[in-house]
Amino acid sequence: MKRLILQMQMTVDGFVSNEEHDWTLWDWGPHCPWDDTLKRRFNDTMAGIDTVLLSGPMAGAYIQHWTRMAEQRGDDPDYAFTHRIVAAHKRVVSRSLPSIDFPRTSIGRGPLVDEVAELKGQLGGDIICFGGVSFAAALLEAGVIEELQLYVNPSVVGAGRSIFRHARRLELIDATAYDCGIVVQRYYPGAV
Amino acid sequence: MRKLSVSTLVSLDGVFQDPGGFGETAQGGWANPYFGNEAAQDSYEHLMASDYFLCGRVTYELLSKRWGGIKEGLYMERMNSIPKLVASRTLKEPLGWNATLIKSDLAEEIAKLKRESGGQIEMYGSATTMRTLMEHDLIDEYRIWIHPLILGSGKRLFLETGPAAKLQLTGTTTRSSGVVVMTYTPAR
Repeated sequence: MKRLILQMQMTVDGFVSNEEHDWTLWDWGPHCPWDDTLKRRFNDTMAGIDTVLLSGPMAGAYIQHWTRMAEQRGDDPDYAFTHRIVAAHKRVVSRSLPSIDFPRTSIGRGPLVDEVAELKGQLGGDIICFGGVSFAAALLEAGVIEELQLYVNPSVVGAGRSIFRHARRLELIDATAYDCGIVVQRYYPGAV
Repeated sequence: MRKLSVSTLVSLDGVFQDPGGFGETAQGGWANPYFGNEAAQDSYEHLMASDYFLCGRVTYELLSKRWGGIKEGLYMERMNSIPKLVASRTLKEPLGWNATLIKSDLAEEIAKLKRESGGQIEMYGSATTMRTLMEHDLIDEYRIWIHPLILGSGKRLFLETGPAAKLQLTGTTTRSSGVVVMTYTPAR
């Protein structure tokens, strides 16, 4: 069965979004300041993916961005994952988005848990989700995530948005530090 | 030059209140199941490398009351004997627990101590005190013990009113308990 991986960039103090401060090392642009080992890891993770799960508000911009980046930077092995995103099935879960017109992209109307179950039942690689914040929080709450990957950036912001809502225990899978200053923590969130 | 090092137990969502269950919150004591021998040994070694233990009023009141009488274990022994500095505008001297009050000019007092040679200054918790020290760029090291749980509510270590900070990662230790200790210095 396919697994659902939720991968989020996070600050040391637990926020995944803060518009005031420039806290992520990489802005997803054409120049990635991560060290080679972390770039390789990210590419390895994406190599195991064949489905990207997207929220309505984020879907269009996400697909456009990585399609453009695949055209611009796709020859660079560091950006090999962009081809993976382009080739992957993009499943957008939204009740309100009227339509979406990109290759290999479809809309599901929910409920979220049913959508995820249906995707997991298909054959192939794993599913990855990168947010948005409320969408990620809902997935976590629903207990449908097999692996939470937190890319902890070396910043403290004091305030912002979080994917964590209610008290719960998680199980640490591993934590790895990278030269660029990011610590990748992997957790098994468990069923609810 | 003395080094000022901050060690704090936090949840994955950045909450640091009542890790030991000293009656502050209903979910207090959340860190206890994770605090084994490894953690006690590490904490002991840091206290042994320190000349002073620094904290704010809230941490002082809770820790001195709870730990003050405990004589068992090297860590508690050192914790109770180490000279302490307590930052507070409201407490009155004399303080117990081998503590000295820093009433005013916390930043100036700490800056003065840091210019001396000697062991480090170890600080636990104390969000308000830490904010002041961050604002004056007096913290040399952050040791953030990330616990594998979400608390969802409670006081946060890095205050909303505090400065944002870019850090430099200097080390990571993964404990068998599932706690990840991340060590940072301020990025300069």
